[in-house]
Amino acid sequence: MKKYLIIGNGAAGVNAAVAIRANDKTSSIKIISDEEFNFYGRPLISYYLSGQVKPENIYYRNEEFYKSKNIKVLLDTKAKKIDTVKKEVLTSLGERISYDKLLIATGSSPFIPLIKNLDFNRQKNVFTFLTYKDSIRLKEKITGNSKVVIAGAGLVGLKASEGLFGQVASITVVDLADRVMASVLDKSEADIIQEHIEQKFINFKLQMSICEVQGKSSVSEVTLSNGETFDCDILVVAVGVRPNVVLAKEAGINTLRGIVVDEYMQTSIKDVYAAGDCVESLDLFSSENNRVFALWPNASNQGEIAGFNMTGAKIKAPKIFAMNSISFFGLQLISAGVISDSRSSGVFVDSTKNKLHKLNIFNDNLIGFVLINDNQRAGIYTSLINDKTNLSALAYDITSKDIGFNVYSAEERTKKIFDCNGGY
Amino acid sequence: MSLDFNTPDFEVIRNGNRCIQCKVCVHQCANAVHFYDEEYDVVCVDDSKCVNCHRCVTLCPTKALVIRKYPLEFRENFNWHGKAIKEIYKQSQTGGVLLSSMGNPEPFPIYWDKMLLNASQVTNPSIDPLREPMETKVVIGRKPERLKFDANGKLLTKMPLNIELKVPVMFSAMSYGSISRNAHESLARAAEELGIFYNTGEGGLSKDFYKYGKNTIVQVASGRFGVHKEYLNAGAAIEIKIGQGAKPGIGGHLPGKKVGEDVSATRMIPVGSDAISPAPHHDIYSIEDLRQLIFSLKEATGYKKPVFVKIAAVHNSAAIASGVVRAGADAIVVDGFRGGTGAAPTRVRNNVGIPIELALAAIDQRLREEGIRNYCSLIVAGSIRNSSDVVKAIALGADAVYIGSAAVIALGCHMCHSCSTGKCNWGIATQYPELVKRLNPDIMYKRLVNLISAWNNEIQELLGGMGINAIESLRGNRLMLRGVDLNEKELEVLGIKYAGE
Amino acid sequence: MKKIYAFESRCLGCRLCEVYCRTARFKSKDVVKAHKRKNITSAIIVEEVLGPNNISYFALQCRHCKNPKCIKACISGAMYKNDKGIVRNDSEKCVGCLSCILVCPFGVIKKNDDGKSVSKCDLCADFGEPFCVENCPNEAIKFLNEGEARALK
Repeated sequence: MKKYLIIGNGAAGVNAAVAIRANDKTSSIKIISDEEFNFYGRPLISYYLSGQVKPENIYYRNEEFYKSKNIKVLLDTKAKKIDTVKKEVLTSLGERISYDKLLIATGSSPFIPLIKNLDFNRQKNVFTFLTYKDSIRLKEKITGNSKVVIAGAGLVGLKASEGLFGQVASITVVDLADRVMASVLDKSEADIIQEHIEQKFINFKLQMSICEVQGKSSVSEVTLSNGETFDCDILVVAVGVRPNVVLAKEAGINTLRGIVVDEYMQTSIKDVYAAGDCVESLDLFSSENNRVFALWPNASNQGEIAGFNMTGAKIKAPKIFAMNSISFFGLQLISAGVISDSRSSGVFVDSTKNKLHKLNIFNDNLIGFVLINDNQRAGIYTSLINDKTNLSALAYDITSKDIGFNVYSAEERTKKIFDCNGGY
Repeated sequence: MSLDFNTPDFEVIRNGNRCIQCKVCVHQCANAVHFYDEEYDVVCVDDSKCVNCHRCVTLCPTKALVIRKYPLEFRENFNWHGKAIKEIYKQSQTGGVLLSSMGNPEPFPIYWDKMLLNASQVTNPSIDPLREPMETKVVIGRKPERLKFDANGKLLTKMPLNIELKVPVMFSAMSYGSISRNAHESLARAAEELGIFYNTGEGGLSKDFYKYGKNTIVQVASGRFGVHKEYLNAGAAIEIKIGQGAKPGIGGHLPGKKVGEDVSATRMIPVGSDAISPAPHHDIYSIEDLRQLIFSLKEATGYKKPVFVKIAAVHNSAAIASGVVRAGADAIVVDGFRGGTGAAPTRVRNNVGIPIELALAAIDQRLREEGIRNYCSLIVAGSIRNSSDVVKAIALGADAVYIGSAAVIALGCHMCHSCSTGKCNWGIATQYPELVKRLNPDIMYKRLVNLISAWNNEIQELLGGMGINAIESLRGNRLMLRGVDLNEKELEVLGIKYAGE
Repeated sequence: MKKIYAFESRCLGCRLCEVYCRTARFKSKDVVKAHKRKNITSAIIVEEVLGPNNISYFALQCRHCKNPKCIKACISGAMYKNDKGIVRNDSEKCVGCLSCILVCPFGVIKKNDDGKSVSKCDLCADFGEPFCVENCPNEAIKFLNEGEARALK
């Protein structure tokens, strides 16, 4: 009988708990969460905002799931301190929970830029957009007359704008970059997305930032870096996230930008593991640079691997590359790997109205792709990136036609069909 | 020539209420009758290319297709009917010999349908095959004049070479080339399971098929394609093909485009070259010459394989058969004028040869009269359509029958008579790999087994009804037959009485 | 666990499996109605293989991986593995984010026309044998255990 403790009830934490239970039927598994809700699909909060997802469907698994796996979840409980010597965690309720194996899956928090006169504690109409609670609060606050300003034209900001669309009077998205989703897309792809969203009368103020807000108990006006000012009833700050490393750092665990882990997801301290958005992962495309990836599939994978390893397995976590699948008002974007033109020996772009198909090839390997509204077999591309498949060994030139499973030789296909391990 | 008198033979009707535009018909029609019009996003039809093979009709998941005779009529004329006119249009356009496939479709009498079988009533008991043993096994080959036994009842007579059939039905010669590899495999596997034989035809035998050797008859024809010592020894018996019912007196022609790697290897000819079988065997101009070939083959196989000789049913079949027996054949195969073919000149197919029923009766009669009937077995072919045709053939004097058309129909042939185009949509008479694939031997050999097993049951029922419990007892028992709608001459040739006599 | 295995040497590329897959996904299982009344996505894909002289085909559908990437990529919890090992998608929960399509190494999950959900093979788990297998005219797809399939390959 061991005691497993998991801090964080997100994708990494829950997948870890499931993995632990798969290998260890009897030990106790506890999850501590500072949120008041059971495990929910975090990216669904914009769908909740729009009304597409009803409250009962936001939960990732039902109650029965935790019961059948005998996983105990302590909601609304914050881990205050980790004592790695005594092997216990002090909670906000003053409880000390001891563990044999600990997983830190604390995720990330919104980054709040410096904006003159902005005060989250005082102003009641400013929001971040990362949790279900954020979304509930925002949904309660908006009216048909709301003039909404969103700081950040990244994935979260744009999804927030989509969630709000049709429910408010106006939406303005402000970003310092020259394009939307600057961390994911090049200008040409970003323009397609931006144009599409602009058709819904959502305004973009790019290459600008909000430098000042007016209003005491609530923000009433924002001032941009070019001096322009306009009315604002709701301000959503979605300029990015930062990994939650303080708890680990204070416990003496090695951290840089994120928590440092070895290839088995163990931190610098024995029996303490970390996974998900709070850790630094090895980048598939760079041997030195460890990066923090805030990606759902990555969090699930790392959680599962950490979970298995906490029960004594020795599974190596794979290197990570960026991947995103997201839609904006029916326009579907799927991308993975390195997509910037600067690092490639061949970029193949096939674009028509509202459609784009871009492959980034380097040294006979596919290193990245962007597909807009052209997505049926995207996973095969992802596999080619992941497996570092030599493109010259394939049945045809992948830039010459739509990809299919027929890109592999008959022997390779048979092998893959019989293996079908899935994996990480 | 832009002026084309030809009009479609068939009309393809698509029920728009049922068609779901799934394009299965488009993918399946090798003649490109069905096609997808991208501009209008709809599946369309070109009637003129349709051969009425029913592939699309069969595979259409909503049964939205019907094929009918093209409703265009010529002015009614009993003599210059539409077919006669259209043939002239075709020949005047191309200057070519008209080609046809499968057997003679013309309305000549079908004697099987003018003969009826007997059954036991009161004075002799009928037999229930479900309760009592019933033998449908036959033995092919020479039979001894008489049997000698020693004092202890032990057989002293040395028995000649024989092969045994569990059912008196075999699959006719259809060459690899004229039919597909998968069709061959289906026939071979079915023959093995049924305890009967299939025939290689004159295309040689792929080494892959040697494993079915004990159920294989290897053919030697005028082109001698694929004939070598190993081949001769691979089968259970050898058949010398002199003639074929569909095209007596002429040879064969496998177009070069059907001679791919595999066909080339089994036929021992270069890839892409036409395989032309001469009309005669150039070493056979007499019965004596035939005897030489028969014994050459026996010599090559150490006198271990019976040798059959196959002839087409023609005017002097009885006399020819007598000669063939005297030349030393162990079995004589007679192929009637309705026998099928992959390709034959239409005029030959429709106008040369005689009905198998009459040839069979004449030959059996002649051999008996000459006292040589037991020297060899008599096998008939040329449109045996069902089990009652088999029983009637045996009552007329046959030992066994060959089926070709019936076998390919079991494999999916819909008698569209277009084998010669090489684009058989059912994967039978084609060498295109994507079409050959459509005939899955795993499925199709079972259909052949089903067919022959069903016939075997029916044969037993018919025998039992006549009070006969072994098919050997029916052979040549013409008293079991009565004619209807026949004139006196026909009855005389058939050697049967009129119904009521 | 039984899965659908495709035999390329037998596949005609007729795409009847796609027709019957769509039919299987329609309540009344009537081919005409399934295609006329509703735009249903087939969860089986027929692909072409171009050889030097010929075209061959094979059908492909979800392989129900041991450790499915699609489940871990799913943001809504719609994708799950049932107790029989069948990977299924709950269309009530699916929001059509296509994360599963992004990671499926076989490329066999398809976006539905409504853009709000995806289609994938569930082996017709709710009613007997897979429809595509039952209706393949050439036995080119079979419902087999892995061992049986290996023996036939």
